[in-house]
Amino acid sequence: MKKKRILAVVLAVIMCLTAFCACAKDTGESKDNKNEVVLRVTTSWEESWWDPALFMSVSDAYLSANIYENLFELQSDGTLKPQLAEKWEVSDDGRTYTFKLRENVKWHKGYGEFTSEDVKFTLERQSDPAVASVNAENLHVANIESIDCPDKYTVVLKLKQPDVDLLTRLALYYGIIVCKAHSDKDGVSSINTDPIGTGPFVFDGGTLGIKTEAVRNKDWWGNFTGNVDRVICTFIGDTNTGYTAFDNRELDILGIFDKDKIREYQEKGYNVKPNPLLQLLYIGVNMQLEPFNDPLVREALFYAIDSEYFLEDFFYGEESAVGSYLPPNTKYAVRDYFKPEFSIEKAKQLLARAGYPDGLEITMWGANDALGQPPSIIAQDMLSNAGFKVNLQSVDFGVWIDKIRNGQAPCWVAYNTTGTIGDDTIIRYTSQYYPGNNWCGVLDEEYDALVAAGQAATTEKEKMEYYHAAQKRMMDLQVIYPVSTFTVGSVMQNNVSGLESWGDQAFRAHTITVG
Amino acid sequence: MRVLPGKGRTLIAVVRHTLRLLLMKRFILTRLLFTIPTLLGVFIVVFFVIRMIPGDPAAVMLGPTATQSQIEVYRAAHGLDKPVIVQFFLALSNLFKGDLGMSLSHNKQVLGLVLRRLPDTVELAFTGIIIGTVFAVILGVIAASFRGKWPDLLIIFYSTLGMSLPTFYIGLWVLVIFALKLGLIPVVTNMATGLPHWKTLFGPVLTMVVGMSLARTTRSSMLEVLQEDFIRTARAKGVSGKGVLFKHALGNALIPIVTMVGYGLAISFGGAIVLETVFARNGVGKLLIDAITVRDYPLIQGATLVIAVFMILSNLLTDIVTGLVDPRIRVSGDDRD
Repeated sequence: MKKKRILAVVLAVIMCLTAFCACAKDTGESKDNKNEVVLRVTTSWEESWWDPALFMSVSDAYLSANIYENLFELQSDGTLKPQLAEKWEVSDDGRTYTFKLRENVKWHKGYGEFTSEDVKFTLERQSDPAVASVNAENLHVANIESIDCPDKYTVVLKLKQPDVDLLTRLALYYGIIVCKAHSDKDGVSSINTDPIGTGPFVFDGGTLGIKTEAVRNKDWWGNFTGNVDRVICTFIGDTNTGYTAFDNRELDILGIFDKDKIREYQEKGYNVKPNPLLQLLYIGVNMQLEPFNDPLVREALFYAIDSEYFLEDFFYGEESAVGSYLPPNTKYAVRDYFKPEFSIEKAKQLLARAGYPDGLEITMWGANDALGQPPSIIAQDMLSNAGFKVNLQSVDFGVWIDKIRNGQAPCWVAYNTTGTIGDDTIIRYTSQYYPGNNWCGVLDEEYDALVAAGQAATTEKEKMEYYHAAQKRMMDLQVIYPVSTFTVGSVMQNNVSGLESWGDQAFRAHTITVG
Repeated sequence: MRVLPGKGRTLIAVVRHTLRLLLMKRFILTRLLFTIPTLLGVFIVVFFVIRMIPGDPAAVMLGPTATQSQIEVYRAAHGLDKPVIVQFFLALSNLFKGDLGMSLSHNKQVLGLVLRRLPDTVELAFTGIIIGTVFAVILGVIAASFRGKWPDLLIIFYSTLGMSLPTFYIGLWVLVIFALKLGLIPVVTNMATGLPHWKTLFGPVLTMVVGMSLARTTRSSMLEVLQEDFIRTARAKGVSGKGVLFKHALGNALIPIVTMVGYGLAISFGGAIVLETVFARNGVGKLLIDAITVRDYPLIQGATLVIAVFMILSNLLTDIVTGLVDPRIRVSGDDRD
């Protein structure tokens, strides 16, 4: 009996101890030594990949942009700066590119020297089913006829057709160069678990989507203009928690899209650096669906929106008007074509002419996140004043995109994400992509012809002309009302400086000084 | 052994009943065996229900700019292009091999992902429930003892406030007060080094404790028991106030409390999403909600299954403890008294 009593007590104690002890994390150990200068940043989205072939957007390259490098570095003005490629030549027919690589560049963690074989490997693996790359199309890999490596530091790329944007593509997140030796030694999936790059920082452990660390690469070929020794990137999903962590000085840089919060930090004396994204806020309609198959209704909608209110009041004058459905910092964007006119009276008259003198019921779809909801509600209000009876469906992103891609959404509010070049966005609105990517249901022969001519153009000037003409035609169809640009602010602690913007929107820790 | 109503339980009697329940092999074995069809049912329901939610995982994962061919490549690479019934049988056969599949959004094994995050959730759930229960029971007993007086009113006010305020709101206030103003804990424990382990739990556990409704339940249960005849008898026999409360009343008042605690423990395994988001903890709840947002089918299935296991075990534990607390609850096949 006494033994049983003791046993019962012991069991109870063990149960309690289990709850406290079994899962204790090792928060006591720290990789950094006290003399290290540490930069602490955060993301509010969970990065999921280290393999650039699997990056689905520039957001996936957040810390990766400090570990990996490209052949070129895209600058904020759209020009290219040599990175792993020191020089390059393009043949007269635009189909042969010869890259002279930077010599004596070392891969991290003893994986040898960066050579032309790594470039060839990076491009060829895009077509490897085992890699399951989502960026083969972005890189136009199908247009590559051959890749030759006549020597360790030379790559000769032959294309089937000229591609005036090839160099820019290679400078973007999907053109990141990865290490062949690493894949050969550790397997195809090793790139996604242990990123090996040539960049200023070396991956030093952690879990994507939780916390990752990178430490200064003392063998880097480039110049450190900052003093950061270690970068710690932590995922913080809740924006309020992010603000509190920044206020508590647990973060050195915080990205904010809330304009009110940006103002608040500016008023407190913090340095907030604007970072214009490759996005714009817009209202879109599907011209294949009623009532927007009627040009009068589309025109009425365009008169009903007060873009000045968005620009001056909603965004506090910190965003700009947009000339077309491409953000102005996109290569092929028309910057000054679209000039909206706001007139409630004209909107009502047009609705009456279209057969809706008493107003018109429409359904507008918006994503129910913190970014998408406020402009949706404002747009609903504006349209209501002009006689549109708007049924706003504020839904989860997955449902929203499903409705729009399947051609079931007559009208929506969204942030249009565009690549740096913008040609993909122009091409997606051609007839062949409806339903699907052609959300606006544009089945217009003139637009299709202009886009096709742009795709076939062999010089940048010619391409620019056709793409500009295509954008103007699209704007004349009145299916996309571009409201404004979209800028994120990076607020920094007062002892942080040197944050620079690149055309690819990633941050570069090697230019940052802390303290 | 019969327990006469009105007689307090001694520690020996409690232990005897503990052993009796622990020795009820048939009861526990049966419950554990039923776990298998239950989990299978959960798997089947979740598998088909999540596929009824609008939103193509490939389109969601790849984003608005994805082309149709990129989507098709993605779907083919992840088996999403197969008929649903084929996907189901493939997933089922993998399940029997202990393979929960590959996460679409993380490109890692689901089981590994979930197991990596499970300790955070289990630790928070157990710690919060245990501390919260102790605290709530103490408050509830005090409230019942001072019914109508200021301690009772204060505790009712505190309890009502805690139940009314949203969890994220309480959590943010905990951060503002204890992290920002007092500097006792960091906002994001992930980034802090040299931090005592209890500080990583302080914020979320305190939020759980404040938000628990157990104090009211304890108070109500105690008040009901204190009206019973056996309590009057005990008082008449000269048992002290403390003795009445703790030896006679509390034991009998514990049944609804145990039920509530068990329920709270079960839902906290999957319901800690708000706490995990506010305090940037990487638990299973957050993993699950993010998986649902991006339509990561294998991860939704895997995380739900693991949560279901813990919920079943929590219910089993609750039943065992309930029997421990009240030996009048008989289990079939056991005739021993």
